[in-house]
Amino acid sequence: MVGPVWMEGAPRPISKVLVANRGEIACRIFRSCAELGLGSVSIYSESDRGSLHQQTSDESVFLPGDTLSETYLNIEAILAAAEETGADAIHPGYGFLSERSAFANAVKAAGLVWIGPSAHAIDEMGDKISARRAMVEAGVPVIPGEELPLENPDEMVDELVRAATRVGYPLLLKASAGGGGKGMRVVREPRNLQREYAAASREAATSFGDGTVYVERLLEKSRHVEVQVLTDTLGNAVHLFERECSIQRRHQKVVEEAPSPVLDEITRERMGEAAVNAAKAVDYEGAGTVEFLLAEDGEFHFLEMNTRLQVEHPITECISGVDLVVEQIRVAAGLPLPFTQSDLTIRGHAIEVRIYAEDPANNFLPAIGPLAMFRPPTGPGIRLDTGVREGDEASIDFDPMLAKLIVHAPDREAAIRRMKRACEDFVLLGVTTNMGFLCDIMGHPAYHAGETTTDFIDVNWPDGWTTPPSDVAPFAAAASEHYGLSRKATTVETEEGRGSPYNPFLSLRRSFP
Amino acid sequence: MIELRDSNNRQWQITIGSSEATCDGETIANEHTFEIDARPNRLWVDGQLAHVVKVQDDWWVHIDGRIHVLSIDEQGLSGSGADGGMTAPMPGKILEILCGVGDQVEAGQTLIVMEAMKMEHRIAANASGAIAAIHHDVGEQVDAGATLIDIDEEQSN
Repeated sequence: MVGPVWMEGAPRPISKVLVANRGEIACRIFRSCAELGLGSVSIYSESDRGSLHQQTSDESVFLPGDTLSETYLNIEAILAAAEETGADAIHPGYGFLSERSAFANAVKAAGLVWIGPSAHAIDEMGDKISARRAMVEAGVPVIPGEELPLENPDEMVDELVRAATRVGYPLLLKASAGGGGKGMRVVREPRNLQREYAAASREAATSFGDGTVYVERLLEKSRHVEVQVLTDTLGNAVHLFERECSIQRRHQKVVEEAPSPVLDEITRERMGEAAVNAAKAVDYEGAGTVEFLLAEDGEFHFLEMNTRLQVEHPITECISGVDLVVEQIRVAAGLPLPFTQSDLTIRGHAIEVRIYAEDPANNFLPAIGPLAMFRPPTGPGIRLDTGVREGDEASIDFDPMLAKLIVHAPDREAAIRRMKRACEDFVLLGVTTNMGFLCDIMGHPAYHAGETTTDFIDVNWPDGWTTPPSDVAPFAAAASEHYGLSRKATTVETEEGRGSPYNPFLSLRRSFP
Repeated sequence: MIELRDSNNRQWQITIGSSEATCDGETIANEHTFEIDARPNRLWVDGQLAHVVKVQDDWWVHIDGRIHVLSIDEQGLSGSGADGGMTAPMPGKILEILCGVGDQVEAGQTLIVMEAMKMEHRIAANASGAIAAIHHDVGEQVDAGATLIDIDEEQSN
């Protein structure tokens, strides 16, 4: 028999999972693999040698090369790594190759199990035009918008201006293949249109290898509400309620919560139903997310469907009690969902904050440096999904997100208090992060009041954010200098990996687990 | 005496053992008590636990639920260098240079497009004037704080 006992009788049994990703999401998937009794394989590039994700997996395969296309985006090398280690399934995580139908097809063609939706579903939903069409057929309202397929901005001027006029200002330029705020630009006035289009198109080409840009009306004072769906290969489909992810900077999410503080039961049901219908319309398999923009008037508009696991999936896991990665793997193996819609209820309230290596006092620009101290908070209802630990470096090579802090509590107010305390207890020294800013969001009356619209940060910090001054910290620093409390924060490179001299992973001369 | 600068740019002069200190030149009381913890990088200030670590010339302090960075001021290192030199706000790659040496530019005009962590950032002129020098080429990787462009500021007639 292939795989653990619970896999018995599965049409596509799995015994070992390769994760074609890195960082916190790879670590999170490996954790579920371990609990399921499955073997795990990581891939890593030179700059990830000795990283947490490499050491969390049972086996790891080094991918040579300096660029992403040689490593984490290299389909051929990833399939070779699976063959070399005997992995029989591939989980793509989020980002990287997760929404490339060519990868899904290549994995299946290699005789491996693909832990994700079909290439057809990825293409249908990945293409904003066909996704919109599917939504219109499913009776879900969509935002006015148009796609501009040409890639040379100089030849596009007339068409661009015409499209922009039809859509109306203010508008949003987004990469058709995109997500995560990359290649996304706000244009408030026609005179900035061409410049922003060139930038969006270029970012799209760098990040996604596709320079196609989509023009869409910007709905202000709206909320970003998304519904988690889960479907199996036997025709069963459920939704696991909504997440509200309105608090964003540069169109990247910073704070997410579930359930939404404003959704009523009726809208929740309508939205959930619409999301399930959307998934069914493309024969979706596994875990997916249907994003909506909830306008001020209470109407919701389809934004897009993300055909992968989301960064913020843990808050759904908290309130539903469902391990989404476990269900993804079970579905990929061909097993039925172990529950129906009526089995699912919302329990309590969950919040996630994304900890970025960036300077909130300086326009959220990325920061780099050593994680000289990294001591996460502990206690009931606290979860940390991290790809780094003390002694690692925040480097320029990858996305600045270091970790996600998640709390779960009986109600929203308790969850906010818990998150505020957790952020305050987090000792993260050596690299500038948004931790202090997160503390202030959790302490802000507007957040407590649930006024979480997408312009939350601009509205509440119109002149930017600054670190609240401390009259004690300078004395603590002076005393530390005076008494010589300095422990040099250095990073050493050894055969065993990378970390500080105090890193127990190194001093034990073994790697975990 | 230890001279420090906090992230709000206040200058501190503190002597441990003295009952007085100065902040921005003003004398203030120093009535704090310190106790060093048996474990490394821990210090008790007035009975409150602080985590501290020094990275290069900066002390990183976690106290009272907040993280603070205090820079040790080197003696004789003064002057902000605000002489029209424009520096990179973060480490990254130069994507585009939108001006040439000798060009007249206006404050706020985008001069350089940089990329860091797959995001584009625009570097705008911090003063009006003529471009005196461009220190980097397209495609170059630069460190945070690297001088990118010098501008000869317009004389205010």
